[in-house]
Amino acid sequence: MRALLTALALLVTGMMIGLVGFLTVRGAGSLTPGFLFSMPSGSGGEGGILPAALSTLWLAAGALSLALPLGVGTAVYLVEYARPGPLVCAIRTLTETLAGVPSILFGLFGFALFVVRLGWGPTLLTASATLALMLLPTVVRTSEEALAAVPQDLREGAAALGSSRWDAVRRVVLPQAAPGIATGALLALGRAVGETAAVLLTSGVGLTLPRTIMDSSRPLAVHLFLLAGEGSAGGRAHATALALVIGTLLFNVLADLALWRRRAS
Amino acid sequence: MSSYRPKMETRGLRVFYGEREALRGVSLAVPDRSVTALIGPSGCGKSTFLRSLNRMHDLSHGVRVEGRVLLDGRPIERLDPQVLRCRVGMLFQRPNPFPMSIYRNVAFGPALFGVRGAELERIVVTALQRVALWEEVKGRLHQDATGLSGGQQQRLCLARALAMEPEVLLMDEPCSALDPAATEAIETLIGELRRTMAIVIVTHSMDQARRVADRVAFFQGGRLVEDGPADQVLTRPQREETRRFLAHSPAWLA
Repeated sequence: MRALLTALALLVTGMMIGLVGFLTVRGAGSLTPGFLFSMPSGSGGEGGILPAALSTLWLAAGALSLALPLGVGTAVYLVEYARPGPLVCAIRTLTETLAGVPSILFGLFGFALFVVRLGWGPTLLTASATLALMLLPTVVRTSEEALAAVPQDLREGAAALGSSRWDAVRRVVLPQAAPGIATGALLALGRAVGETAAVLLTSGVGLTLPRTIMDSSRPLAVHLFLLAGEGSAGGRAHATALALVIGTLLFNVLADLALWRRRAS
Repeated sequence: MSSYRPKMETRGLRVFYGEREALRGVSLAVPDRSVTALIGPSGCGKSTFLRSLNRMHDLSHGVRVEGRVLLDGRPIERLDPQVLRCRVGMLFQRPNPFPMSIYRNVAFGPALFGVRGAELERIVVTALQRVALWEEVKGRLHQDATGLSGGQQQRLCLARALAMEPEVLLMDEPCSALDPAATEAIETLIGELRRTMAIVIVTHSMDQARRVADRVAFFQGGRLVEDGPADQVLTRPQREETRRFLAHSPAWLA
């Protein structure tokens, strides 16, 4: 049994290493600073990935700045204000269901709502909003856990000094929960960086540097999808994939570090 | 010792946790400028009673309070709970300093109500001096309060409560998490504070009740069995239940 389980573990690790190794072998040669920081040419098949990398960063930041206030607000309501009952139950169930919805559905929903109905067209804002919807369950859940972990003593201590519920939340509970909420945000960010399906129909395919949130853009994941589909870009596609993997890895390591530091203290 | 009208008073106070009746009609008067100790076995309702006096039960779901609680003869449900809790302060069983600096902990209450600058600083220093913590922390006011020892933390929490200049101070077994020296420090402070305010203290230690209390109220099974001057209730109790409790009250029973 032990041998079988060891073999399984090795298989899984091997696949991970194989994947990253494959990308490294094929793509590392093309992944130069020049590639990262130059403009693409020839419909993206040649040149660098600067606009795509920037789009990804803007997209992640945009999605988070929409998802964080909404998600933390919901969590504060659920933990600090709501009385246990059917409404809270419904919100929890819906949030959990939302977490399991395939991301392409978010993409289609975002397309139908933001691109078509609201007429924003495929832009950074559209993609950020769509992605934010997808990240909400993660942000709500991790924020809820962080808030629930704040000792009741602190809430009572604040109340006993004459503070309103909101004052207690704002001045005592949220600061205490902030590291946990930040960890959740980083986890969400890691997902946002690599997400493809949700932004495929909402971000556009623009290859210029995005200047405003209403510009069409092409995040790395979408860029990669298009390059791979053409089948002509060779090492550039692999280098793009490698850049994406490294970016995602970076955010996850940051999240782990934040978690680890919280556990240690 | 005490003025004619009680500082606080309950009439037929009943508290329900869901279906369970934790307090079964308690009428008790708390005189001003004195220490009233609440004693009794665990689960007798003494903490429940204490938390009714500043409407702490409002914070928990599924708690129902019936009967009257009066502050200076006026029903407390007519007061804004925030105003009530400014006038009726509370010290908890375990020290619960906020995760912020020593200074900001003490400044917390007054700052909520808009006190700033030199006035706020004066309040903080005075409060820390009153609990004899000033000399120990004056060099590190802006360090995190959670770095203080348990006894210091509890005195900090007392300073935090005193910064609001309460008329009544509620203490829920304030020394149960402290060592003997820190306990003595708190008891000395209680002796000083009783000259200016009404203090209600829940304690599981008969020795502590003997040391600090002017009046003692004995609770059992959610009812007030007996209350009166401390030496009378503790040495010549009128009721059989009180006598039995005092005779068999090692610390672990409480």
